[in-house]
Amino acid sequence: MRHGALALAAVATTVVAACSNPVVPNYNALSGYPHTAASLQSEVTGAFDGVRTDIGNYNLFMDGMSRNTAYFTASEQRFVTVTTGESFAGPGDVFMGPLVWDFYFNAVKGIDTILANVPAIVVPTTSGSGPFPVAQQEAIFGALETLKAMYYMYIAQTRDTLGVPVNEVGRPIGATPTPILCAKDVWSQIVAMLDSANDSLTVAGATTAFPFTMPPGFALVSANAGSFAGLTRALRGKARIEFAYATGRPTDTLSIGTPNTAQLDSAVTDIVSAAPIYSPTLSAAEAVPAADLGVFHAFSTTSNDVQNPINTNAAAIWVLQDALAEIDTLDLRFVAKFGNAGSGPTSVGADIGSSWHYVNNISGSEPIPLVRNVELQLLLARAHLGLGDFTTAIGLANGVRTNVGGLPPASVAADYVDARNFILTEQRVSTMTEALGDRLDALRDLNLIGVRDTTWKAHSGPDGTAAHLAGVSKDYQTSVIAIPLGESDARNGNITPVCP
Amino acid sequence: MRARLVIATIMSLALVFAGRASAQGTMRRITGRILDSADHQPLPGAQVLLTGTTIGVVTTDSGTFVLRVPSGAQSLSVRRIGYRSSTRKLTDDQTEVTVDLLRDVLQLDQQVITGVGTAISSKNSATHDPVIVAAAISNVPTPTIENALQGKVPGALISDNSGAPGGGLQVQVRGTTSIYATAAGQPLYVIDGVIMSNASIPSGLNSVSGAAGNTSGNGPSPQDQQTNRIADINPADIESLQFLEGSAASAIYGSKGAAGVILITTKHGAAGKPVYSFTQRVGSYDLSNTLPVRRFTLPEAQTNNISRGGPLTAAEVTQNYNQCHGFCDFQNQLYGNTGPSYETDLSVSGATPSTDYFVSGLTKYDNGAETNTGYQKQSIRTNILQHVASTLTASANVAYAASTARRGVNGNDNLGIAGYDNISYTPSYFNMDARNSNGSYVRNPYGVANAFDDAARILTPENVNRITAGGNLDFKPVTTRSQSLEFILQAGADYAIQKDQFYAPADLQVETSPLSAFPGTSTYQSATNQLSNYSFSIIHTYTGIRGVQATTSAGLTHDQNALYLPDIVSQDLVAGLANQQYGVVQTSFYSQQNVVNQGFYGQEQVLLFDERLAVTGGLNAEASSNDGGVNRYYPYPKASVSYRFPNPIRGIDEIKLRGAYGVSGTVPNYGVKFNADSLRGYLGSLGTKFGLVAGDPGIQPETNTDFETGFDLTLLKGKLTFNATGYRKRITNLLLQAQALPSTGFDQQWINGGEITNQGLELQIAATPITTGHFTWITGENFARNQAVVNNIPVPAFTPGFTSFGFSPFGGYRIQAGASPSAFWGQTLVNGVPTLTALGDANPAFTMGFTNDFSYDRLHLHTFFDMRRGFKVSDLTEQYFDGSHNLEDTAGTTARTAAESQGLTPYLYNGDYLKLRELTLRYDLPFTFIDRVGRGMFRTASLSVSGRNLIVWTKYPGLDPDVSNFSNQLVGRGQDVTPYPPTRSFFFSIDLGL
Repeated sequence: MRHGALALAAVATTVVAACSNPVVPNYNALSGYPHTAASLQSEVTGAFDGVRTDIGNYNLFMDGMSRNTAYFTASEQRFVTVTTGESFAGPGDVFMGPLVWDFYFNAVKGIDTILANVPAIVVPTTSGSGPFPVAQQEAIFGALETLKAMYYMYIAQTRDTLGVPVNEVGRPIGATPTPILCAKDVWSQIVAMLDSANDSLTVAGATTAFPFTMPPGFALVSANAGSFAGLTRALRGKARIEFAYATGRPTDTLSIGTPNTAQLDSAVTDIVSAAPIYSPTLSAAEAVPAADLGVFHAFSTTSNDVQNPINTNAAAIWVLQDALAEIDTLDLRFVAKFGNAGSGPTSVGADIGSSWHYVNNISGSEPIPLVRNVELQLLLARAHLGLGDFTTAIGLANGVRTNVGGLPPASVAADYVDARNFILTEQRVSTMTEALGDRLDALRDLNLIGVRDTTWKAHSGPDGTAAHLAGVSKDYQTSVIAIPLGESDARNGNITPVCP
Repeated sequence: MRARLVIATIMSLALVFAGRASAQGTMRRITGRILDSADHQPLPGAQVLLTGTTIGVVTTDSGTFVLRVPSGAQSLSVRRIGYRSSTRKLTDDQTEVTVDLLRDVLQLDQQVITGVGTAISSKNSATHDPVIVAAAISNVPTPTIENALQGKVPGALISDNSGAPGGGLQVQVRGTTSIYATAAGQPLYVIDGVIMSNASIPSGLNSVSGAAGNTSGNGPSPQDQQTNRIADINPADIESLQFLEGSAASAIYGSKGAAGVILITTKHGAAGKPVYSFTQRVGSYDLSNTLPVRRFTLPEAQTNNISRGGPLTAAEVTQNYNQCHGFCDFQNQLYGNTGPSYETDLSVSGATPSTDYFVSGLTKYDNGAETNTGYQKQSIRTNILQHVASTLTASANVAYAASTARRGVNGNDNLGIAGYDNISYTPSYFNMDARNSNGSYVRNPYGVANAFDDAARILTPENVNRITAGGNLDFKPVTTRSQSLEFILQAGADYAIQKDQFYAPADLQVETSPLSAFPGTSTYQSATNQLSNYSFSIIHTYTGIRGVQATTSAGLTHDQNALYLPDIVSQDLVAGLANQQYGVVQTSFYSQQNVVNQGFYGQEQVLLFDERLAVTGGLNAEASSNDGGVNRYYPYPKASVSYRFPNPIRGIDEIKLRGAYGVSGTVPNYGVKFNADSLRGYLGSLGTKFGLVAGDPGIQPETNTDFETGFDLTLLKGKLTFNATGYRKRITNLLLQAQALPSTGFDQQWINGGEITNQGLELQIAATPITTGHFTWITGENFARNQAVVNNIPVPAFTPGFTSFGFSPFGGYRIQAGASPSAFWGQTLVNGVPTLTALGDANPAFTMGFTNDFSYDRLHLHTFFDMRRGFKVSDLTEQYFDGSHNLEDTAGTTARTAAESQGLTPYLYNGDYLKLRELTLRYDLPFTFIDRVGRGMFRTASLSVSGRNLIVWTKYPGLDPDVSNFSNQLVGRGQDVTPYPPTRSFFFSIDLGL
């Protein structure tokens, strides 16, 4: 009976213990965005961090589609075949599909959430406590709205005429999607966002400081609203050029087209007023991106941070023969990044790669430019090209060539085609592998996508055979990343852009 | 509160019941013996029951028993594991009896577990719950228990992930049960009534291979070629395995039972003297297949070298070519290690009047076919059952296992270091196995790595230490002629530590290549899995007139499962130092989860009309911390009925018709009820962001509703049995990570919704066609067919996570209404346009298994063939070779490459196969010989030679169609990505009984 009593006691204890609610801590989902003054710093840091992990893919894809460089690896030949166009990469492509899309909209959502809650954040004031002063609220808005516009610019650059659904962030999950906007309206909205950001920064006042610390890559513009407005205007200048050409691209390869001259005029104004990033004074030091005046994505090799996403694969990033053909390998801008390995890649697509690869000024903590002075010089040249001021355009490009590249000035005829080609070449060597996408933008805007050189050979025989080596050149093309399958699926396949 | 009241009421009633005195009439003493009908040897451990009562006894070591029974005509029911039960009538004055039991070679009469502490004879069972006995898994040495089960259980699809040592298999019961609910990925394992972990923990191989990225230094990934922890079980400890395939059977495990339940019963001591068993096996593993790698003539080699950028001079090409006599056979050089493997098993079992015991030990080593790989395991187990008092029994099972697996770098990688990845881009005229003058391997000029150097110097040890313990307290305060009341308390704990310490030296070619910014990688992961559970049950049995038997049970269950995964990856190591602290770049990863489930159940099991009619009904209610509402108990009812027709027509011994209905479920994944946030450091600051996946605070478990019906036929006086089962398994309220509109900021969202149906047919036939004095032939065949379809989903069609590598050129998965959830989709030309189409299925259209055991006197031959038809495999490995034009069939490469450039899917193949899984030839030495040689020490001795996976008949062009790059997957199987190649094993064994 004693045994029975013990057993029953154990049972009773068990029953009582088992009748509690099964609750365990949630380890992986934090409360998220509590929107307090204390949390604002980490939320803003998260906003700046937005797309850092994906910027490497953006770089590789944009540079591959520009026929500048490609990442050659035997294990993943699609970095070559898809980005430079030999392989099919339509909707449903899981390689490129979701990249430069999901993270960017997600980052925008984060920014919108912060902005919506900034007015409610309570901070100590001279009279006790209250919201941030209006000037600081305007400064926060101006900075984050600029960041948001920049994320949309990345997406717009990779999709071109496929369009971007700019108005979807923040709408309820499951709501009927709004149409994807066409390129013209996308760039219009991006310019409008930057207008709004610039207005806020202006209202804030040039000396108003931000109530948070920006990442080191933004040091040049982080002191106050006035300096940050330089970034806003630099981006707006670039966006205006795209907006100008969105409806006025030339229809052939010889004429200037009908770009919106008002936007181009404003672009010139924006860029030259983009100090402290813009400076008419150029030097050879600016051949190295990190040494230029600019704003950067910063990286580090410390735990739980992000390393420069290009660095790990840098030396397998080979300059394509197409690019090498028009580049002086003594150009300081080229030498700042590339070295001659003696032999080129050995994996798939080896025949389009040169023996030059990315080995200089690259490390896990090397920053990647968002926008920098050399880029602005060449964007300015492009704006003048569109305005028909070929002499000014050539002069600006020659300024970069001589002062930064260390080369003698080029003698270029002051006509559209020569000026255009000269600017494209200087742009190419100045900003290869950087997160700018300027060359691809220019190729599209100037109707040159269809005439890019290619050295792809038809696979008319086994590798290395005479039939293969003598194969017919093919003009494979990839100039956009497809709208991701997920976006397409959620829209029931309706991804045709609409111009309202 | 209501639940507490119910339990309290039940207990009060039980205590009142317990106080009742049982009336006893005039009794007499019966003595008897139970013998084996074949050799007339006494059978200890047989259960002798007074028919229709709960009064019984177990036979002694000499097969005898003494039982007091009421006066008058009576009958005894005798039952023993491995024998068919028998009923013997006793006359009014009979006091002695001898019963011969027939061996149950076709397993007609086994105890089938129906609940916590309840069971029923398989002849009455209303569900099809295949039982695998020890003999069926011990014929051929097996790396892990799952290997020994492949193809033998209709409805259980057991597939290899690769040929790596130490296991790595997936078990899928009756088709795809879920799309995203990871708990439904594998069946639940219950050992001696206690739930045990079958966690599959990523090792961190991705840190070295870059499989889930294109760099080294990342954290663990599903592509880490991990194994399931059920691999820790010693197959020799297992008495039997019972598969609860349908929800009618698995409903007792509620929200953990949707993917099926495997009940493992380990060996226990039986009455009699200590019985010692000793087994020694020696053998080897051997590469069983190779790919047709391209051979070059010397001129072709020179041309190829030029086309590859000319990394070697013409003279060097000639030199290499000659060193290999024209063909360097990398596959057999790298994977041709046939070093010895061994296994030693020792066990002792027995029983004293108050204690039953079983103690076993194992030590084994499986040598890997790849250089520097292998699997070593030691385990011990102790099972003790103590008869504390006439009404109280306590038992305890404790097992400890320690293993070390070295599995090399295989499977998907993005650095070019996996063995077959490396072979795919290295031409066969290059002598990659050559050494420099300082003894180091030559650099591979055709890529970034030398496979031989990698195999020799990349270290991949995975150490597992695991202790499992289970206990059972069985209190039976009331036993009368017609009723009994029993309280059972079961509890168990399972604690495993898996340590992975991988090391890639800084001077490896790949580490010094452009692909690695930080030469040298060292990882340290120490994963801990803690599982505990207990249950309490009250069981009342009633045995009445006309064979009425009613078993009523009720109780509660509680389990908790926690997993902690800290991982440190260290890079840029000072040459020669593997310790993580010497890495310049150190990255830490950490994740953890904790799940608590609890439930209450009640069940009624009734046998009527002389046990012809069996009716069972039950209800289980469970709540889980993973559910959105943790206070809500989800019901899992079940009901089943069977009826036996003895001798319905001439020639048929018996036919049983059966039907069952049941509901089980699957708890949501940990954390899906929350919006996950994303945290990351940004040069000293911490950044907070939204994750990409939106949570659902109201998330619910999936529901699996199962109908099954069938019949069991016994013919020719038990020499032939046939059973057929049809089922329809409908999974609703699916956990879906549905596609959100990415432009909203979330690209996925967790939801409940949609429906999958699996319909299938399972057939089994077993027979003893020949049983002469000397010769016996026992045969068994099984057939299973399952068809799955997504009936509906509340969202547009979507690709379920990263489960494949693209519709073109490989084929991938897509969840779409009207199609199979495991369908492979790819691109075909429709009107000249590449169009996404379902091109086949990763799961077979049907499977068959063929077992044959032949015995001639002491000589025994065992064969088992495993067949699968109608399934597809995505062969990325071939595409790797095509990329470097490195296959013998260059025309095939050209065709596939052309198809790929058209956006088509040329790498999806039919995987049909027939495998000779098992072959054993055993000779039982004569007792006179054993006795003489062993000087009376041995009871039995046998010698055997055996092989596993000896021959494969298939048209699949890859290494083995039984392959899965992503390891455990609900969908997403059948990806052939440079895996550890398949092996076959040969063993010589000596079995001794003392």
